Amino acid sequence: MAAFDYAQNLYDVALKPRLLRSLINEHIPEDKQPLGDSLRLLHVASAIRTHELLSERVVHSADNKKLIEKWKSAVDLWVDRVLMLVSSKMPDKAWAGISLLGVTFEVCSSERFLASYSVWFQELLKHLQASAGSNFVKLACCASISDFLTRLSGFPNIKRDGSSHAAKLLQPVLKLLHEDSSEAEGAVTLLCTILTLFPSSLQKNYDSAEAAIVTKLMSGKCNTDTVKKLALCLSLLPKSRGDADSWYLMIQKILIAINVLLNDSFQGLEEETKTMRALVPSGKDPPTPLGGLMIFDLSNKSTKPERVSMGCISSLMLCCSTMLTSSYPAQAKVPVQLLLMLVERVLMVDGSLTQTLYPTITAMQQEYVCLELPVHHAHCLDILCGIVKEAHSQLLPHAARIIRIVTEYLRKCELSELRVKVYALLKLMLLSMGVGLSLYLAEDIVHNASTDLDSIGDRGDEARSNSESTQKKRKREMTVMPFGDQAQTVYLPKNPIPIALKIAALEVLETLLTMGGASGSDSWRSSVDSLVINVATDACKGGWIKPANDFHNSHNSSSNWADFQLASLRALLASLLSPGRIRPPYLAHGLELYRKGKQETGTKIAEFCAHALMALELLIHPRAIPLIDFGSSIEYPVNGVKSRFTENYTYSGAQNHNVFSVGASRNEPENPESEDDLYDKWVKDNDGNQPPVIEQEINETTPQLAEKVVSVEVSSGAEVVPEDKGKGILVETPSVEEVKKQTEVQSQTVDFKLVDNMVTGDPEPTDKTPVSGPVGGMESKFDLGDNDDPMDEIPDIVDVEPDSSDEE
Amino acid sequence: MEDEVVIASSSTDVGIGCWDLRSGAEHLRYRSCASPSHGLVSVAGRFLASSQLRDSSSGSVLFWSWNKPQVEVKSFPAEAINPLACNSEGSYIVGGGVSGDIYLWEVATGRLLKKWHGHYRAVTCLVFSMDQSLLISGAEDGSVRVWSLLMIFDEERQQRSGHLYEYSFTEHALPVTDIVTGYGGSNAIIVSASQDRTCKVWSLARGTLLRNIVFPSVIDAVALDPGEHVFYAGGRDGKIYIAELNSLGKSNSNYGLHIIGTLSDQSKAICSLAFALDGLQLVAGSEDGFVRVWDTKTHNIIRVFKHAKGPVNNILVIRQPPALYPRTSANNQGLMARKQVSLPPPLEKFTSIDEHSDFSIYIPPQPDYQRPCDATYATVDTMNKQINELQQRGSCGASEMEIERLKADNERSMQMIQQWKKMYENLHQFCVGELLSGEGDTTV
Repeated sequence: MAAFDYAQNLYDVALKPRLLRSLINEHIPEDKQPLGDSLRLLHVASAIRTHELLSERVVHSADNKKLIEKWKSAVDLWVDRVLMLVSSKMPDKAWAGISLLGVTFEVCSSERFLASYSVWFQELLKHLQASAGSNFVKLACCASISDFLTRLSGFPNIKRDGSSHAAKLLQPVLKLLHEDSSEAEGAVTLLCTILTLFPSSLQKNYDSAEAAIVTKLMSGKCNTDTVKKLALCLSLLPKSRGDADSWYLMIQKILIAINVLLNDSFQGLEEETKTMRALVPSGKDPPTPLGGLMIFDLSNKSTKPERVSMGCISSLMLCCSTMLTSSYPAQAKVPVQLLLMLVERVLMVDGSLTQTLYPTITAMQQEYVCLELPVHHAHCLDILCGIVKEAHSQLLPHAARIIRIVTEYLRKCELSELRVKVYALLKLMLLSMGVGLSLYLAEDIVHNASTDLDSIGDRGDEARSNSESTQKKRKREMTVMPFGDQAQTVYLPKNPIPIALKIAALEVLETLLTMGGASGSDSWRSSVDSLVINVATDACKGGWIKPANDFHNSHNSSSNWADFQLASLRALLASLLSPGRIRPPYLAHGLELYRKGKQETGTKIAEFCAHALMALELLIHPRAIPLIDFGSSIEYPVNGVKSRFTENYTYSGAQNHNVFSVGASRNEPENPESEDDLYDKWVKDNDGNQPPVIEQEINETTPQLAEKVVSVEVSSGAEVVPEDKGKGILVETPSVEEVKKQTEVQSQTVDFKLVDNMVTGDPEPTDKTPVSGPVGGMESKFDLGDNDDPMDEIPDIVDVEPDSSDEE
Repeated sequence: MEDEVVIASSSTDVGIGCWDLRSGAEHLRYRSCASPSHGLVSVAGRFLASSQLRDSSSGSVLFWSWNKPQVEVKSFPAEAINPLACNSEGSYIVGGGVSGDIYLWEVATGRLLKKWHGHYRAVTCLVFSMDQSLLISGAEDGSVRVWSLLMIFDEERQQRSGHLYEYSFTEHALPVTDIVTGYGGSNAIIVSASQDRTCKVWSLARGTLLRNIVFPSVIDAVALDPGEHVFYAGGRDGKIYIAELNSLGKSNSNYGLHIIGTLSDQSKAICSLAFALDGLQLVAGSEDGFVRVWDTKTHNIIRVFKHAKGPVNNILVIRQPPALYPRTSANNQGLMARKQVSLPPPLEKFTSIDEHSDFSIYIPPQPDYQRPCDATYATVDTMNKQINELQQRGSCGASEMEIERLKADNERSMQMIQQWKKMYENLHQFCVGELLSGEGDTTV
């Protein structure tokens, strides 16, 4: 390469083969050389990705031929070197080669990938199958093969080939899964990829895959991340068969396994249950146990200490919720009653012993169960969330039961993490089931959320200064809300209440106000409104938190004070906007908060405050927007046909509500008969003295008439409806400021022939559907417009008018 | 913009007409349908269902799939069903019987989930509220009732409250002919029309009458302007009256208070009204068998479809179902739809639900859409992680510390060696001294 053969710039295609070559020479060792610093490899990988060095994307032309050749040979060299590394005996070099091959899968050109993918695959497969070998290499191999499959799945025409390739992987992957070390994690990820991209490849190995996954899951030796992936694998497994039955069978098996395990661990903590009988309907054979494990294996106390079996339960529950939420190609039949039975069963256990004479478990066993219970509860709530999300309206027959479960649980639950989850679930339910549900749940939600919000100001130093007001508030709220009969177990929050819980409580209140603020709200609306404004005022009292200021605070919880402020402002907006019978009593306070918040430029709070101010503007200037506004030149495309814009495209929508500015500053043709409600009222207020808008014009008509014109709603916009051919069309065109273009648009859409067809029997030339506005209105209409409609049209219309009114 | 189709049926047995709203082309005509008013629904765009006017003791409800003209599924409920309604997801079909009973079926299984006595006389219209949680029914006895579907299924709550309905409006003196609900969740309005020549506007939030509008003629059909500025009421005198909703009620036209205009073309009575999806085109079915499309902006008729001789008493305007797209069309939407057309089983006559019945919910199939941007590659991440590990193993502070420790160890050992050496030396000297002196002794 010539020393002075400069490239044009960074983007020059000619540069790429050269860059690639020099990268290879510098960093990719040959056969005998040792592997250099591994950090270099990362550098190479990133350079290749940024500069797209393997893409070989060149415009094909005569002068590019040489360049193409050059690049091709460079990439050939790259592939050769990498493959050499892959097959190297040294583990570190093999590792480097496998990783770089993975990068190659991602970025090489489609032609190259298609030409040599099976060779590459064989190389990797060798490593995966090798009985010995370093874990490190195998982990990299799994990642690399996963990328291989991802790329392969992008070519729909070789789907079958891909499946057969993926099928070859299964044996080694399942073998890896059995091993304890870290490569099992890689194997799980790879299995997930296979199941998502080539599910059909698993058909033959369905049972062994299930067994392997379940065994791993039950072993209790995985970290949470791997457990999640295993659960995903298990829930994706039915995809390989892809029919409705196998999905149902899988979830049924999981439910049975959970129940067997629960029977053991909840012994002495709950009454007898009949779940098993419901799970296996009488007269039907029970399905084969999950993963081929015997019931005995599942619940063998001697082989499985309590801890492990509790872990199994929660991972199986995770499987349930994952199955509910992951997509399935066929219609999935969800045994919702069985799931609810399970959820109810678990949520009702709170660790207390049953009312028997002799306790059947030891204190130690109780300890274990209590330790794990919150995890179970959390998973159960996840399952409920999954059901609510997927079932939509089909939940209706079960909704009452779910509501009972949830409210009962909310009453008892004291752990803030779980309460956050319950609130999230309630929010989801409110959103999916709407008004009907809000009638149901309002009181429970309000009661619980206000208890949780009822200790504002426990924020360090402010706690002291606020303590009196807090006390006062607490007292007041207690008197405001005598809800329900919480005789048995009453939830009492422990101070300080975590911010995350308060945020969740605010969010559920916000949703309640959004969905059901208007209906049946007499009992709780006022207390919620005052609670929300108090919380928001208190939250924002200490000024706005800049994100940078509370770095020391952020690591212990994911949500911080700024989030709380935002949540309180959101709830406040819902409380202001939610329909009520009187003007929101805290409107002024709210507006002030939003105005202040808006000044904190660059924060989320400012963004939200701007939005809130816009939304509140509508509350202050309510509009009933007219269907047609002749004064504005805004046009929307009609029926997908984009009509042309007028040259003087001026946005004059503002006239809809701001009459003063219109009257004062506009001198272009305005439409005084805007159908805007507010506009009407404004004008009516003014019509004792001089109407501000239409001064000159209105002078000619009497004030009385002017009022009438203005109060007419649709008819003023509605010109005479064309009744008969020819004439109708002529008549309706001379509208107020209606420009000729409107006529053109109409004539495009009107199907004259059809109009003719249907009105054949109508001899009457006059108009049957008159404008109900008085004649004066019409006159003033024409007076106003400084349009250049030919004046000889007017008598036409005026003639028509009395006619029609006579008829009535 | 997607294509819309206008679907019309009549009380005489002339089938169901189906036209493209924009082009006016007629699609299939579905055969053998004579529906009562409000008896035609499109079940979530998946298929058509219609109750039938038949002279028999049991009623009949028919299903048509989009691509076949003949009836595919026939069900025979316990009594004649007048209005049908289905929720927007198409999971439930609700029917109102001539006895005043209301039936609720699950579409997927055809099971009769609930049946309750709603009215004293035949039910005439059924409407779901916008958020699908409430059902509003009107009847020949003039009552309009609002039902919370949750309550219908919750027997405990029912016992506590004493009655099933949320509201019962009894101000109409004659049979209710049509009901529409508006936008706004819990704050929505309900407009009901009746043979007593009035339309009444109700507030869902308060359960009160907001406005009573007296018309010159009986109103059989009502359509609500999407902006809820006005509503359109189709009268038996052939006029479509425009009545205002939210103004102060000052405008008093020739027709009466709150009525501000009409759309009229001298046709016969209006039997049904529906808005197109754009909220501007109003589709009206008339007694003379024509379907007219009005532009509510200009008050012009922009299209006319001829259905049949009989009165057009049902009009639906829906998005064009994929199955109606021509086979040749390039988009595979139609192909996909054709693959999965299997209609649900017929609706049950009597409920078969007991405590053992297996309740399930059905999650519709979700085909995997694989978009290239979805593909995530793992190698680079893994490489990063592993290199980190390598780096840590090679050159971390721990090994440095180890070296320090080894050095200290070494030093201590060296000291020990020195000590031992010294001791050895001492002993050696001592021994040598002893030996020498001993020798000296013996020699001395």
